[in-house]
Amino acid sequence: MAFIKEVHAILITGRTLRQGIGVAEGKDSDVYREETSQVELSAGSMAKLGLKHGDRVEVSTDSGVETFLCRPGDLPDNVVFVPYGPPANRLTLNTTEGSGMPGFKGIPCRVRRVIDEDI
Amino acid sequence: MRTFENTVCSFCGSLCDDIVLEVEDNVITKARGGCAISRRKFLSAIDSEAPLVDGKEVKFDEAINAAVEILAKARHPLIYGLSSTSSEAQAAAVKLGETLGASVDSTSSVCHGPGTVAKQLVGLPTCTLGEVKNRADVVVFWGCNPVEAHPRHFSRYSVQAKGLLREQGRRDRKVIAVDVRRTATARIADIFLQVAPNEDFQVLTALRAVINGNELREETFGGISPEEIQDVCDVLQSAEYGVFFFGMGLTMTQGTHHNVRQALSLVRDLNRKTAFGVIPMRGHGNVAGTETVLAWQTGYPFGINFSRGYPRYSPGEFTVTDLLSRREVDAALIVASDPAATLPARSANYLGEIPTIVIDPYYSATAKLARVFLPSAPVGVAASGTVYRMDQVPLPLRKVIDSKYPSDHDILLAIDKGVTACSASKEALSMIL
Repeated sequence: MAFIKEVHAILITGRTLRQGIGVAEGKDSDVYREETSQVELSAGSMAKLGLKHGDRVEVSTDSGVETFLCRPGDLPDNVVFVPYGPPANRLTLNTTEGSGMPGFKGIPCRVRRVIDEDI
Repeated sequence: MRTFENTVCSFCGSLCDDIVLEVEDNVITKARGGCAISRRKFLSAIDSEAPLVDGKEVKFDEAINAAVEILAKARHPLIYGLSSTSSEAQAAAVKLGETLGASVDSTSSVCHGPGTVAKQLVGLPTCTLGEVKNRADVVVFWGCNPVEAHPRHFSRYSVQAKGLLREQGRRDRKVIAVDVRRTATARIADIFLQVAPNEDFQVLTALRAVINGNELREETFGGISPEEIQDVCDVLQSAEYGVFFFGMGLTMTQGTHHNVRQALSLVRDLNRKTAFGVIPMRGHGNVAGTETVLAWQTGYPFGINFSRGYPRYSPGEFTVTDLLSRREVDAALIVASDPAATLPARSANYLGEIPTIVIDPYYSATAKLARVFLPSAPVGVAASGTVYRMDQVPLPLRKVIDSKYPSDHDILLAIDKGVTACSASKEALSMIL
């Protein structure tokens, strides 16, 4: 079966319970590192890209590129979600359009599967 | 062993005040009654690294002196963070900002700041969480996910909580969730509106149109049909006492303060028909206090600059992301916050290029790139103080163990004293010369 190489989506970053536990335990903790290095995709997007839970994906925005482990999330096909943390912040936008608020949600992004040759 | 009952957890803006702590040999051995985050917070509360200057361990006074030297030399320093410390420390930070002619900003600018701008435009028809518990029969969660971010909000205040007029808790309430994602909060709601990314403003505008007696003529509003809009309006208008909670899903998405302006206007419209309140779902434990303290001391809630000797307010100009992205500050004092882990990397990386001072109970990601690290006694554990809940109710934090380090408040006062002495000696020298 042929898979699509890349999908265009909207990136949303946000809080999760495990990310909050990681903040309380310490940002060097395993729970914080693990949680902030995951991206959630819809079942449809995962199928299109030929991904299974735990596969590596690359997410890129105008700010940068970051690699995550993917997991299924209850999301529309055009939305991907990453918990708040340093990996997410290599993708968020530092422009505030005069509001003081950087781009943490609703960011256009591209998502592609990382294949062995990329490593 | 000592037991401390009714202790306040200051992790999130819910400020649960029913935590039971057991302390043995100056160590918290048990934390009961809180959520999973709260337990980790209390049980991880131990003294961290020693004071550091350029990565080398120094005596506390030497670290204070290094901080004073950096700040006294700076032409445009930034004081940032403040939302996870006491209001007493926040007031000391404002005083230091005035002494230095610094920019002073809090994490509010990267969370509910746009909501505060909207509040200045529309006003905030608000209530306390006690009123929510005792009166609310319709509860809206828009762009927030308390199940994961404020884990006990439902049981203590807003959904399952049993109150004076809502004796049956959940069964007495209609819950509406609005979000881009079908979150854990959306899954327990009676009505879920799955809004298209960046289109909350359209949905809020459609709701206001219907509440104000207009007809909807489009087929969809931000991914929501006119029928769904009408159904939600029927529930909102039939409320005996409604409450609207909103989170980052409104403040961080396209439109920022315009989204919140529309949400607050919707609540204002609803108050012509029934009783309705609105509460921002604040994240950090004392971010509400930061805005309160800054507003009563300077007239403004965040994004403040003292370089002309009096406070000026300008979100987008004196806010942390803008100041760092434009490389406009030449030193930074970060208090109880971790911008290196929370701001866009393109902004945060600049903190490694300028002399940065960190005051924090924990050795954070920002501390790793700082020139000076001043460890402090964790507030609410080893230091007392006041914090403001998301509904602006102030609560006292207790000291249950001892730390070998001073509180954020005392460290800020010591730096202010040092900088003031430094400025006075410079002034005296210039008069002699």
